Amino acid sequence: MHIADGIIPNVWCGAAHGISWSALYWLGRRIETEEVVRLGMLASASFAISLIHFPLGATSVHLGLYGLAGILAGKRAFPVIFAALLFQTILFQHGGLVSLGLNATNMGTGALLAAAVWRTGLLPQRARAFLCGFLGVLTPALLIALEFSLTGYGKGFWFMAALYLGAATLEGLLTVAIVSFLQRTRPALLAARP
Amino acid sequence: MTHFFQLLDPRARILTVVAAIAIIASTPPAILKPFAIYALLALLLVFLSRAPGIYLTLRVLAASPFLLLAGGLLAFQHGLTPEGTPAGVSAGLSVLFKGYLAALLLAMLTATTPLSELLWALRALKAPPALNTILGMMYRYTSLLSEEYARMERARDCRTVRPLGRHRIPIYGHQFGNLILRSWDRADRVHAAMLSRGFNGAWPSMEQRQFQFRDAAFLMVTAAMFLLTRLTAA
Repeated sequence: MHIADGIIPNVWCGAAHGISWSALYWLGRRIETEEVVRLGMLASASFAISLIHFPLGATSVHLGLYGLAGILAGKRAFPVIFAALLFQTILFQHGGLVSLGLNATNMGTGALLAAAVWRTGLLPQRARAFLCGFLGVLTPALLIALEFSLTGYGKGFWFMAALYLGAATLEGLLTVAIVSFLQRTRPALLAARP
Repeated sequence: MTHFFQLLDPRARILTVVAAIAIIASTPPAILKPFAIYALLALLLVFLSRAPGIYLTLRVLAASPFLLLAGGLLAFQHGLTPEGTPAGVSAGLSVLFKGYLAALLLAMLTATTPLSELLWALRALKAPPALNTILGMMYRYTSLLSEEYARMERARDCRTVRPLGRHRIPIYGHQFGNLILRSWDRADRVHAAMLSRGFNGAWPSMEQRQFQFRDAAFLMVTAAMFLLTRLTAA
């Protein structure tokens, strides 16, 4: 799901950089040192978990945990995801520096949407957890498909986004299991954050 | 042994690579001629950096699946020409060249610039301190938490005599939840330790670098060479 450099036109990448850096400053303002350290540890744990691959049909998928980041960090999930993407770009060349803004916008939107769903409180907790995990994966996939179709790549990536339905469902189910565990052991972690 | 590229200010290295990638990416899809010169310039930078060739090759090849997918889609979505070749082949190749060159330059940067220098450069370029702290913590704790998770898996395997079967998802979910819980508790301990050492929201740095004339000159000359190639080819 990481768009590499040179694929999407610079105008799009530049605009996305503007959006994502603005969001990074805006959503990370007035942050306490204690919270930063927790977010750093959350980013480390999420990244460690995302390195584990699950077999799915003929292929395998790994978790993104964007939805869980939205649940646990609220609006601060965006800085967490931005940092995690920059970390992966620097250390593993997943994505690129020019397309970093685009990747952060795509995946950060999924996390922020999950944070909003978690805060609503309209559905039972397990249903919300599933929706957060599901939307956390499917939203970036749909945004990527939209960006590719708008920049002349045709409809191929919509098909790819449809393939992500399986990964999104798996992520939703795992998010339910994680949230259930946290609800039993440390419910304070699940308190809705702004 | 430290080479010329490593002696440059990390800010100059980052800005040079970003400028080169942005200029390469701005090349119109119908024009393929400048990519040979871009490649020569990129290889010249690699030579100056003395980045290890095997590492760079592996990193560039790792970018292949996504690039081939994007390039292939672009090539074939325009249909076939009367001669039977894909009409969008030039656009598809352009995406491949751009992607591979960007991957090469980025791998060169990360192979020759330690993360501590990149973090310092990001801070000097006015990135938010919180971003730096999260990145620094990821660098320090990701492998530690991965090892902690591996120990949890080993402990589970020792106690599990049957395949996980339909309980697989709840079991993995509980393990992941456990890791998050442990990392949350660890964060509180680490924060207390950091405060006791005088942490005030930003990593302390011993770097005393000045952005010198040679840094600016290297950035300008490299960007100018890529830009000249781009403009003369258009």
